[in-house]
Amino acid sequence: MNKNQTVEKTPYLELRDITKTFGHTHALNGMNLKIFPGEIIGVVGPNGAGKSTLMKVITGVYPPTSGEVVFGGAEKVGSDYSASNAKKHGIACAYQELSLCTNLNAYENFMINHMDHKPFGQRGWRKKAAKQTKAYLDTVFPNNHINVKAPISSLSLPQRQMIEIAKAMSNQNLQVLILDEPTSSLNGERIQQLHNYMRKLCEKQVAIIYISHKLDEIDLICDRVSVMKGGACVLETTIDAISPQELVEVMGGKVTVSQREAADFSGNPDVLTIENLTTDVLHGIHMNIKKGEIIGISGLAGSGQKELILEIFGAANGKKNPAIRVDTKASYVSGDRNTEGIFPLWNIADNMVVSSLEQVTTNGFIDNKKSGSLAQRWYDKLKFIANGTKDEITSLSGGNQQKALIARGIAANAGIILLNDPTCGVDVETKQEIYRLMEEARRAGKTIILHSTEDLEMEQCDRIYIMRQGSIVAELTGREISVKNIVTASFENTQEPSGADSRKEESKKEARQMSLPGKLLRNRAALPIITLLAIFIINASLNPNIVSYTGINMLFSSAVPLVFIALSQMFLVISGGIDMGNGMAVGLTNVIVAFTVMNNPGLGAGALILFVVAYGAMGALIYSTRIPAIVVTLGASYIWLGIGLIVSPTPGGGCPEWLTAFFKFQFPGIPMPLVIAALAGFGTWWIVKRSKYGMIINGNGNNPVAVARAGWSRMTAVVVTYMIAGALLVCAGMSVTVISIGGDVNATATYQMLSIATIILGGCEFTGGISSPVGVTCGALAISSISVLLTFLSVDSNLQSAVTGLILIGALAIKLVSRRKEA
Amino acid sequence: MMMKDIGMRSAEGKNIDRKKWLGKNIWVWPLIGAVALWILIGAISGGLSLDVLVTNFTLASYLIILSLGQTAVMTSGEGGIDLSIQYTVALGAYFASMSMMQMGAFPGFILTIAVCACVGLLNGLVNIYIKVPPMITTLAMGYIVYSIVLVMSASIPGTPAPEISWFAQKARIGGISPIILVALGIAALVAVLLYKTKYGKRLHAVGQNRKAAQLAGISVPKTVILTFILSSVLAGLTGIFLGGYFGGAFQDMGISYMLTSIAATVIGGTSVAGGKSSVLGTIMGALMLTMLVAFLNVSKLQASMQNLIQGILLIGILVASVPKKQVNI
Repeated sequence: MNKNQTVEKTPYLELRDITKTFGHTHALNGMNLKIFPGEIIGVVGPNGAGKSTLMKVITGVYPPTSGEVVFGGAEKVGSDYSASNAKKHGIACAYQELSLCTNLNAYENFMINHMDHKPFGQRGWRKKAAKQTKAYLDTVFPNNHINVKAPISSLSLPQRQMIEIAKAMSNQNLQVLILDEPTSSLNGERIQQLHNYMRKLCEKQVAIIYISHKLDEIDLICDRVSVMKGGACVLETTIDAISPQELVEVMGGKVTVSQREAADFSGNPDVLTIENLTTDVLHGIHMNIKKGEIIGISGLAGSGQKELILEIFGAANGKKNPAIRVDTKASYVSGDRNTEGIFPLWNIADNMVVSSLEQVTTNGFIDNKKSGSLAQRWYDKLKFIANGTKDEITSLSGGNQQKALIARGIAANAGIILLNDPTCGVDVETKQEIYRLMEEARRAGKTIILHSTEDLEMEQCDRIYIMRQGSIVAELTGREISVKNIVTASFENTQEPSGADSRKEESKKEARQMSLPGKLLRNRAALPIITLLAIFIINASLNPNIVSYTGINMLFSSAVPLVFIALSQMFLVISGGIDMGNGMAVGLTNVIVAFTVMNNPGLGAGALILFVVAYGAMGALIYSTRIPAIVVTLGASYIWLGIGLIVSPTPGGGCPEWLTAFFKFQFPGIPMPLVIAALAGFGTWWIVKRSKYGMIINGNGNNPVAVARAGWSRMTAVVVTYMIAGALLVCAGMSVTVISIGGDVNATATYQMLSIATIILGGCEFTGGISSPVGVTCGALAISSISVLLTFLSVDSNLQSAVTGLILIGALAIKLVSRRKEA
Repeated sequence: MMMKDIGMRSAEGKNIDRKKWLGKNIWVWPLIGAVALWILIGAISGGLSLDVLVTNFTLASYLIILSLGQTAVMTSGEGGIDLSIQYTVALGAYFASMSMMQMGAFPGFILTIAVCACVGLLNGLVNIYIKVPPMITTLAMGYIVYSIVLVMSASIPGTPAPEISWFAQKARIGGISPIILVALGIAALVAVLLYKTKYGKRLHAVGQNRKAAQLAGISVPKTVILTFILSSVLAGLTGIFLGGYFGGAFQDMGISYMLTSIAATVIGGTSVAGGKSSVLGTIMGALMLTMLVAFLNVSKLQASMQNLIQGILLIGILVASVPKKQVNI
């Protein structure tokens, strides 16, 4: 590939002077970037430089505040640039945080991205999709042994990353591929495969943006590199013209760090000793730190530095660890503000003082004066850019937020201060402030452990431990400490695990693909099915008559309403909400059937359809206002009750003949209640596990952002989900009418709590879009038959709730035990 | 910035400030609702009556005590909710009637509180160490408590101790039932607990971001467990007094309070996601919901319309008061 010619060609995509501001923060500040077809451009920069924001602008997720996105040198798009626009232009991205739905499998994740948005798929689309996905994965990563039909949650992190990358690459019409830290969990062999495929894509004139902190890879695979700092490009050059070490120096910038005098700490007491610390990630760590030292932990990112720091934090704050001896508390300052640092609802003062509460209390109560002055002291020291300590923390720029976190860490009464990339996204002047503070803290007797991806700021350390792949591979002391030496030591000692070892790492989880019985037992429906069988057997042993056609008919006829209600609850739970009003809702549908349908079938049918639409509207309200479903459905329960009372103020009515005939039909061999339950279970199973739109509903319950980015409307998904739930409640109402031969809006309230208990027994989770229609159906049958069992045992019907509760606890205990075994 | 210094404010600036204030003081909405309902009651019954206000505040007091526990649990975040309080209420009533008779009023009272605290302790332990989500934990625990209540109700008549009976029904301070003062006193205590103690500060941190809280040196387990204990203690307390008010305990005495405690908490401005609470809001929410029921009774509307209005008002005030978050793709 002749690189000299790219300067003449027109870029496929060009970003001109892009600015992106969030409130006070300038995430991108006049960013320029040219992307040429068929070339690989690396984008590097320290944390907080704006790489993620840049990527989100390119993919159309964030419209730029100002500047232009230009395609082919001619087509200019400004602030109206959108995700679908980007997709049309062939831009795809493999995200660092992985945009996968973990409750779905690999081919389903592919399909969410690639399939058209028609509600139903063509016959056999799943088989086809599985084959295509497998084939594609094999092309990019040969010998991956990934089961494309297994849920992502069962796959290891390297496998997930491979799927994420392949998913982005497999976009038809691919023109620009963005890979954001694509190799963070891949081993040498896979990285090579990735790079090989990338070159193949380049031959097809696809442009690739490669964001990585692994400079050795950038050196290997990229044609050009753009260095970002502070939201703009500070250097752009061909890869031949610069070495990784020089890149590091460019990223570090012109900070003056006082070279520390080689000090003698041997007289100081030990403050931390680590002997042979080994965990999943760390191997045989030995460390000895004296009081007052500033210790650096360096090495290429991802070598286990953060894990080591977190182990030290845990041990210092009460977690027992035989390998670590530490006699003081530790405070922790993280550069990952949003996940590990700031409390978004609080102001600056509260965020700073939260670790120092003991210092600001008088007589056991928080002293506003003390707390205020502590906050003000640090506020002035760190020269915040804000209106005062009472400003909301979210109104600050990233750098200023970081200042608050550092103040928190130093203000706390801890002997050790752990800093994990503390100057992430902080400007040069503030960094100087922070280094001064660290020195001050040291003089006040604290010990500092610093990990930073900016090697230049490591120069203020007394000693530096260099880490690589979870072990300490080198130690630099005193005069040895320089960026050059740090970088050299970080790049040396490369020991790639052999193919066999890494293959083992990848398939760690797969090894649990066991025998069929084991697999069956692990199914979510196993527990409710076993419970059902157990209760049935107990019932049968007490009353052998049960084991007959009429017996089973009688046993399960009252179960049908709960089956439908629980399945309805299941759909709401998949979408992330919970229905507190389905008891009353069934009361409403019950009386509609018992009165309206009885007297005027046309009107009745219309009323039931209107009910389903109303449920969908409720879902739309919940989604658009973001008010939690739990309270909206609670309010709705009064509305259902009210309407039900209008339809029939007193119990009464009757059951339409055709409905009774249907329920009482003598189905050959299997009693009708079971047939209906089976149909309900099968129908919902098909919707949830086989249908195309069901896949979208599931995905929405797990990773709605990813599904929405693929162009699916979240509102539609929510409304459809609620309408299905409403339809199931109509079925429940019908079955109640048959059983009671009439309607009573107040009689079904108890189903509400039972439906929650049923879905828990049935194997559903309240988050993550995990459900089991079969499990829920069997769970409903099980819980319903408890009452029959209790009647035979001459147990007070009051105790039904108690028994239900105990069964629930039992189910949870079993789940816990099996979870412990798996872990 | 300059304009502010000089003291001049644009009309737009004033508008934004007002919106911000309302956003921070959501309790204003249920207060307006309660006052509006009081006026409506007056309109129907031919004149504003202070008596109506006092009667309803008396009724609301029980709901207030109960809802404060729910408020605390909800503030702890990660789906924090306590579905066991309805049964703990009954547990408190029955156990108090038994223990206060046998051991004397004060020791019996303390023992009842201790027993209810254990319910909360179990809730917390299961949630934290067995890692079961709060909804499931408290639901299951609630069923267990209910079965204990059922067993107790078979052998204990549930008559409240005479002191409690007198307190809840007959006692008067300045013409009003002292339960109002108890409720307000407890509310004040809870407010101090949530806003002026280390525990309260830590609770709000835990509710916003558990990981950040842990890394800031907060013991998340301790904070969450203490919160569940607080909720169960308040539920037990409610049960003891409610038993006195009703003149006797009965199994389902707490059932209707459960959903209303959630509603009162949320309407008052406590965030379901955690990290933000409003004791004042919960009081106003409980008051408004109680006034709503009173208004519907006085209106002599049919049961159907009463329920409809209740539901629409509940949803309406939620839509009006709860701050809407941006839809973020």
